[in-house]
Amino acid sequence: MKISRRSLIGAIGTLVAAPTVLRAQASAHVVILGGGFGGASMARALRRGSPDIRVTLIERDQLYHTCPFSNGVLGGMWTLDHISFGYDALAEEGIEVIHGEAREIDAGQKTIVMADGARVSGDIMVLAPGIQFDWTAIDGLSQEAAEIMPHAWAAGPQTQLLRDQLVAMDDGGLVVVAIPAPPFRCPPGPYERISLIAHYLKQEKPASKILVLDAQDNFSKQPLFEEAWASLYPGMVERIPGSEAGAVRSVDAGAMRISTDFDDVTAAVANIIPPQKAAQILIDAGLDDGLGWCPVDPVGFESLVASDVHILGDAALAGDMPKSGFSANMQAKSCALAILNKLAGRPTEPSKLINVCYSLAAPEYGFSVADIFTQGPEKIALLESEGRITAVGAPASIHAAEAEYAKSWYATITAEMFG
Amino acid sequence: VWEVATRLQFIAALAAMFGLGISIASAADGAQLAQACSSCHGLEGRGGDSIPPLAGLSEEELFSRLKELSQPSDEATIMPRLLRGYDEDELAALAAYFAGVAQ
Repeated sequence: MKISRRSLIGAIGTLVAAPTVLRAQASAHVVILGGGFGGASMARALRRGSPDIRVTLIERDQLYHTCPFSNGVLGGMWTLDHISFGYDALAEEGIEVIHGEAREIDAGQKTIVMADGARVSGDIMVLAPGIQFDWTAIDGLSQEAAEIMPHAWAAGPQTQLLRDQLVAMDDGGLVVVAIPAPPFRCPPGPYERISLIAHYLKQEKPASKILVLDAQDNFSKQPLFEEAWASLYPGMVERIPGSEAGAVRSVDAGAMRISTDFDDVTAAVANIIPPQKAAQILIDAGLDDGLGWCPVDPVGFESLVASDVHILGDAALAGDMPKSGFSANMQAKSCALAILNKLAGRPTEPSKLINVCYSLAAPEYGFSVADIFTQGPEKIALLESEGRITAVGAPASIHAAEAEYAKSWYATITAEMFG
Repeated sequence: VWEVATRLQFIAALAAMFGLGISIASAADGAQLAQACSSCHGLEGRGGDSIPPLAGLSEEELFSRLKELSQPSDEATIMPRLLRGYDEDELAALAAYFAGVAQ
């Protein structure tokens, strides 16, 4: 049996430093920016770990819409209400929830400056504000154009807009889904979206087609998606990969025209997902170190640029971990432990983290990628590179079970965050 | 910051002085490893919707089930893919942790 170094250090640390521990924990204030899978999970993990530390969560919106399961809204499986969550349970646990727009991060002072000029300062900051869209990457694309050609890659009104457009479309219409080059939030997400839009069209508008203009050549769970499309939606989905000039170069929202280097198409509904990078507030603070994403320590997720500033979720450069809700929640719990250890004067040893991303190809047809990661020494590294996904050719019973688990995971993780 | 080797020597010496038990060490490891399980199996493994609970089973039962599930089978879905990333000590630590969750 091997002896855990961490536990021994922890036990010794407790013996030596007990009075300091109590003082540090009682007075510590952790300020969290962003109430999504990273931030909301972090707030509650800290509260569960210690009733004494002060936890403040800054989130712009009163209602959070999860990106996971938002494709089900597009497919008509459930409505936007099903993916909407408020922060009452967090407030009831004594987490100070501030709804407002953050304007600036002062990393040195561990302070968030709000749009109204108010300053929220802590001893430790956790930043999980997610992504921003790079509107300059595609000619003609802008926030205004996205009201006509929705990205629906931040769930909420954009999800509803795209759903409404699909419902209003005539049978026989062309739906274009444009996918950017990686890295982007939720690598399998666009392909799940294509599947669930196809599920809706097959039932309601079976003469319609989906054209996928993809900047990528290969994609997450590709053999499983292609198998599902061939069996569930034959002839409905056509995909142009990056190597055949699939990347969208320009759009004309007024004319519903989408152009690649090779072709121009006119769509009835256009879902243009722009390229992405870390939220601008992080880049303005220099926390991306010029990389577009924020480098962090593989154990503890502390910024490599600023001490006592931890960065989680989609905005972080978290080694091999994908930008997923599952990953952000996993990172939050791991980071919360590191913060609690630090406040107690204990080191945190590396452990193993996981990511499971389920995708639905139809309401009762699921599959997954399941990964284990080691923390460090250089980065968060994928442990097994083979056999990560559901077997191709698996029977319907396996896909039904995985669809059931996907729904169960969603209920459980959202209860952990908001319930 | 100490060099790792120096730290390990110091820890070993202190551990000998205080006579710290090995079971404490593996339970602590288990708690940290078990953070990965909660978004499907519920906080402290108390169960999540249609995904079964882990808490409430005996350590022996959990350990043998985890070992069994780390091998692929026709009925298994994601668990063999995840558990192959954990060694026997880690599975034992997880079993000890979930067996110790107060009911």
